[in-house]
Amino acid sequence: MISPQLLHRLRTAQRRSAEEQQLLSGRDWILVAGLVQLLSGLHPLFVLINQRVLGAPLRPGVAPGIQLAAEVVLAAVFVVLWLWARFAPFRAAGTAIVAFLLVHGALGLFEPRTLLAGAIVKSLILVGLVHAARTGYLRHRPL
Amino acid sequence: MKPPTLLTAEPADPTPDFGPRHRSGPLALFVAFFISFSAAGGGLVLWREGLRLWACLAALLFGAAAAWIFRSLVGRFRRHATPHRSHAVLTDVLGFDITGTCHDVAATVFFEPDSLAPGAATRVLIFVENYASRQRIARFRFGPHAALGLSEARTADLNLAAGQAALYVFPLAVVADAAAGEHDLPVTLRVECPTGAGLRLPVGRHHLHDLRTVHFAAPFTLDIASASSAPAAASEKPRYLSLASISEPAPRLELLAGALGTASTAGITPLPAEPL
Repeated sequence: MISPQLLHRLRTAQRRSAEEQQLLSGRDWILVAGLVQLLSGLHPLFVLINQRVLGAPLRPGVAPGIQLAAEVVLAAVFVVLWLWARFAPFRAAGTAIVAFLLVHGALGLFEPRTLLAGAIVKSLILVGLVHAARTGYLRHRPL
Repeated sequence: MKPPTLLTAEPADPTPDFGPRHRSGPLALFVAFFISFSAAGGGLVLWREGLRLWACLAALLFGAAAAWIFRSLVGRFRRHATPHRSHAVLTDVLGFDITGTCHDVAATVFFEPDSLAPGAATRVLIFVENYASRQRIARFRFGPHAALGLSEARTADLNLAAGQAALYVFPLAVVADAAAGEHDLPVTLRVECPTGAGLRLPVGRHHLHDLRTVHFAAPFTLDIASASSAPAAASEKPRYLSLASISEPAPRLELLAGALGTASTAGITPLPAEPL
C-alpha cells in the first residue's frame, strides 16, 4: 500500500498537469473549428461547380462564390488564430468567436437560409470556440 | 536526439495477447456497408451501360473488401467476451484525472515535486496503463527544455503488455541559473499496436475518448524564495516499473511507494492540507 500523504502529493501534482493539458486542448479546438469551417465550404463549392460547369440555374440569395470565399477566408483566419493561441490563448479564442459571428451574421443578413443550413455544424464550431475561450481564460488564473 | 530503446517494465508482465487482432467496431461496420452499397450500385450502373468487364471488376474488388471486413466482424462477435478486466490503476486506484486514451493507452505526465528551486532535483513521472487486450508501445517524446538542462528532445519507448499499468520515472535537475516562474515541459505521446488493436478491456464506469496523438504540458514552478541548499540527486537513474498486471489479482502499489518514497525531497514546497 502507499501512504495517504504520497497519494495526496501525486493526485495534487497530477491534477495540476491535467488542468494544463486542458489549456492545450482549448487551443486545438480553434484548429478543429478551422478544419470544420473548411469542410463546410464544400457545399457552396458544389453549388458553384453545378452552376459553372453543369449550367444549373442561378438561385436567389448569396452567390456561392462569395459564400465559398467567406468560408475559406474564415478557415484561414482560424488557422492563424490557432498559431497565435500558443502565446495568447484567450485573446485568440475571443477573436475567433467574434470573427465567426461577424462572418456568419453578415451571410445571414443577406440570406437567412444560410443560418439554417448547417445550423448543427455552426453550433458545434461555436461550442468548440467557447470551450477554447473558457480554457484560455483559465490561464489568467493561478493553477 | 538519441536513438530510442524499447523499455520493458520490471518485474516483467507475462500476460500474452488475447482476443481478435482487429477490433471491427462501428466504423468497420459502416465501411463494410458503404463498400457493399458501392459494389452493388457501381456494378449495376456499369453493367447497364454495357461495360460488363468493368462491372465485374468493380463488384469483385469492392465485394472482396466488404467480405474481408464482414469476416473480421464475425470473428469479433464470436470472441466478444473478454476474459479479463483491467485493474484501472490510473482512473480508479490512484484516482487520477484521466479524460482520454491514446490507442487504448491511458497516460499522465507530471513532475513530483512540481514546486522547485533552481538547482533542485525533481522527477518526471509518466504513468501509463494499457486498456487493450494486446500489447502496445507507448512512444513518449519530451523536451527540449533549457531550465531542465534538456538541450535536445528525449524519447522513451515503453512496452506495455495487455492490461498492464506501469510507471516510468525520469530524474531531472533544474539548472542553477533558471528563471523563476511557471514552466511547462512539452510531452507528446504516440502509441503503436505491433500485434493489432485487440479488444478494449472494461475500465469501470469511465468513458475515455481515444486519440491518435496526445500532447501534455507537464507544469512546474520555479521559486527563488524556496531555494534549498540540498544538492540535486544526480545518482538517480531512470526506472520503468510495472504496477499492475491482469495476470495478477491486485496491483503492486508497494513498488510505487518504494520508487517514490525514498527519493530526494529537495525543493518541495509544502502543500496545504486537503481531503483526498
